[in-house]
Amino acid sequence: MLNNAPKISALLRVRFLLALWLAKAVAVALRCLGRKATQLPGRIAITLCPEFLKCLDRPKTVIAVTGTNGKTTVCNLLVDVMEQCGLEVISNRYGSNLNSGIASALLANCGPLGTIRVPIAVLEVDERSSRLVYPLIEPDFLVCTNLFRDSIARNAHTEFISYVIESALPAKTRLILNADDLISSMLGSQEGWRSWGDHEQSGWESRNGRRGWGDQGDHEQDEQGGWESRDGREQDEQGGRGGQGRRRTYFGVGPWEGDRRERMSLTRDITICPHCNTPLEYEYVHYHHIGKAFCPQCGFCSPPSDYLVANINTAERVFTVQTDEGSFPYRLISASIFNVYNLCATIAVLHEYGISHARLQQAFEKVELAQSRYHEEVVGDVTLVMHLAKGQNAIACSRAFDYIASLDGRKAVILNLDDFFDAKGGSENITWLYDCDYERLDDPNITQLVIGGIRSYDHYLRLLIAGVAREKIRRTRYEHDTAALVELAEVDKVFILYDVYTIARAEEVLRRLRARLTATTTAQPTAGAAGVAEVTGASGKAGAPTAEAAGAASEAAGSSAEGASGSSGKAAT
Amino acid sequence: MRIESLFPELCNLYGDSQNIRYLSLCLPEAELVLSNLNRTPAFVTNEVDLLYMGPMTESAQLKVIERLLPYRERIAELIDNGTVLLFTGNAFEVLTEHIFDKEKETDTEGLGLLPFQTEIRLFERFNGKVLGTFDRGGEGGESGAKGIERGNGNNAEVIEVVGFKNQFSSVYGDNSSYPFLTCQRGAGLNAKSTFEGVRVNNFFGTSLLGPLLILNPLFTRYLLKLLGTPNPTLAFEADAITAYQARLQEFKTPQTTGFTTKGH
Repeated sequence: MLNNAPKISALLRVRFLLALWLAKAVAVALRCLGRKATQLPGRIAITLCPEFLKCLDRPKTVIAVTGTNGKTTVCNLLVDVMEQCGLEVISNRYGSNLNSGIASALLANCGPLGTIRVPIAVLEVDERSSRLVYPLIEPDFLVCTNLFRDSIARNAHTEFISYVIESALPAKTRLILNADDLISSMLGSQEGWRSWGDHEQSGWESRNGRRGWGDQGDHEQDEQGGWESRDGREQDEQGGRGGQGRRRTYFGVGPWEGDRRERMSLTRDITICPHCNTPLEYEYVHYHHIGKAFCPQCGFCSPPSDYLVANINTAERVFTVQTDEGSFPYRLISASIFNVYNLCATIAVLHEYGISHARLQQAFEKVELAQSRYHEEVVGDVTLVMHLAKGQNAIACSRAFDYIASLDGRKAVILNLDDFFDAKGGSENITWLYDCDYERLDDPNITQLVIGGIRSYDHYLRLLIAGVAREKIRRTRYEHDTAALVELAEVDKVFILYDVYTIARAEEVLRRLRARLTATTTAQPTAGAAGVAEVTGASGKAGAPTAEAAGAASEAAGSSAEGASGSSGKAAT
Repeated sequence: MRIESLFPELCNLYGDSQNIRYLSLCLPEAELVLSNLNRTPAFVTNEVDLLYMGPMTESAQLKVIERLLPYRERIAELIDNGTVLLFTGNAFEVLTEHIFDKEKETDTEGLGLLPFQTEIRLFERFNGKVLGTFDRGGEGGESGAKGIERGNGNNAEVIEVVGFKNQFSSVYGDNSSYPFLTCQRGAGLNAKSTFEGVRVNNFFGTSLLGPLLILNPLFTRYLLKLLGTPNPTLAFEADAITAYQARLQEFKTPQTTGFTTKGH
């Protein structure tokens, strides 16, 4: 007997069961072969039965997480915290966030008739899969971490992605939104896509007699506009904030040290008021368009946060979440602004789900962020850092650049950002380079920039246009060669920036850097120069590193410096 | 020299705003005018040497049409008198007769300066590369030599242009007698067309997007000549040409994928 599956026709039921059994058989076979089976079984199931996700039994509560940046982190946190709270959870954390990955995760946890006994599912959903997932799964909660300009090929622009999500939202789904992101905060208000030219129908509230969301503490507006609260006490007759019939809960981060009053990024999504076209201003900007915005002309502004992070104490690793129930201290698991948003989103959705702050506080003491995207180690006097920057994602790269520039010390930055798939014959669309804040790399403390990959000429030109001195830049056709082009004696830290699918290459660069440093610290002959000399060896030159020569030599040789570097020292394990 | 960029707060998708930045690096003496949506564009009452508009969202197109409609005749005058206009991405679609949005079932009148129809299909997005030839038509070149300019100074009639497309829209109409590019690979005005964009006098309308002028230094050099710089030197010219030639080689390699002509 299925618990939550909808009633379906007998024919569809037969089709569903056949798809389920075949997909399960494929999953078993894949696992026997040592594969994870996190995508193909679901793809088969959906191909055979397009309504597979709808026919499948449904956990009692489904929490979906989407957004441009942070959705994986939030999903991981949600699962970890819920498990700390003793809850059993299904998730697709180890698999794809497309509809096939979600189907794979669910069918791995269902019985032969499609029955799912685990009460909760936490599902990371790619924004573009919204229309293939939400109408079928009908999540109880949808968390949207933020919406930024992303890969042009995949996501085009933020209005499109907003529309994709908006047009897929089931009526029952409750939204947990980022108050400080004007783009995603408009989800569920019917405000975004359609209302840019039609805002009179938007039903937005007034602020001091003008159009807008109101600001923090503006609760007298509740009587007029009906902002909701966690328990729904203050919902308007239509059921939600803004009078659009949907419950929305907002999380945000209050003013923080280092905030600006103006946006500094090249990408300029939502720079003008959607109602009156006046340039938006900010009470504070945390990064890019994330902050507290308002229109000086008509009063349009960011919504107030139901869960507001305040009093961030990085020294004592604690922060406070202010809600209408009071203020609650939490352990600061990560002090980066992006992760503080992720922490707050996690707290918001789990408290809305029904877990008390006391239990959440206890769980936060025991969970950590997955470190798969950031690795740091010290070898001798040099700190080596592997940092996922996400190629084709101008915002993610800009954030990485900004982070690196903000650190003290002399730094070398290795840019291995080519798209893994396009590099195989696609000739990557590099327009994103010019949305990305390479200007942040024009910093006196960033003393070396080493570019690897088939697009290295493009990155080189981009850095020049950003104002970086030519003398600081080196390039090579092959990512692995970048390790040999860093003058390790001249820096305190080396950052290896890489794309999602090129972690293996980044690890190889890290291994080679580690080997050079290990060789140096164990008094091996001049490892830095030797490494470079080996790369440039094909051109018969040695001594001072010449990046162009190294790259040209590697290209001429038609191979990476793998052999050369491999002989330069024993890799540490 | 005055360069005006229209509505940079809206028309800034895909790194296109860097076209203007690059021009300002190439022409440091030029006056750069950034005209926001809420102010009267400079070209309305002043002479401009180059009028630029970059790609925008589909809803922003409607705002831009509304904003430019009062200046329709002035834009026509600029095109007629040979002023240089460069509209990239979907910017030139605002000059077509109609923009029909299939998803939202709306039909919006454009400025009607180009005899084309634009159709937007939100869920049939068009992604692709283009390799095409730009014919200078005897203008801008020094020697008038036939053949293709390779960036080595031969200044032939034809320049090879590389670029990227990402659009929800296709434009329909016959541009075969005045295209911006003749496609060697990739799609033109729409999936079935081999002629990309339009050129009317010195109006260049192309659906190629991104840092077009940085990607195509030979075309940029041509543009600077049109603007009255007889022997232009580009910013980081050698580096730009090296990157251009590397991309050109890739685009010419048959194995390079992504020159889709599927779509609408």
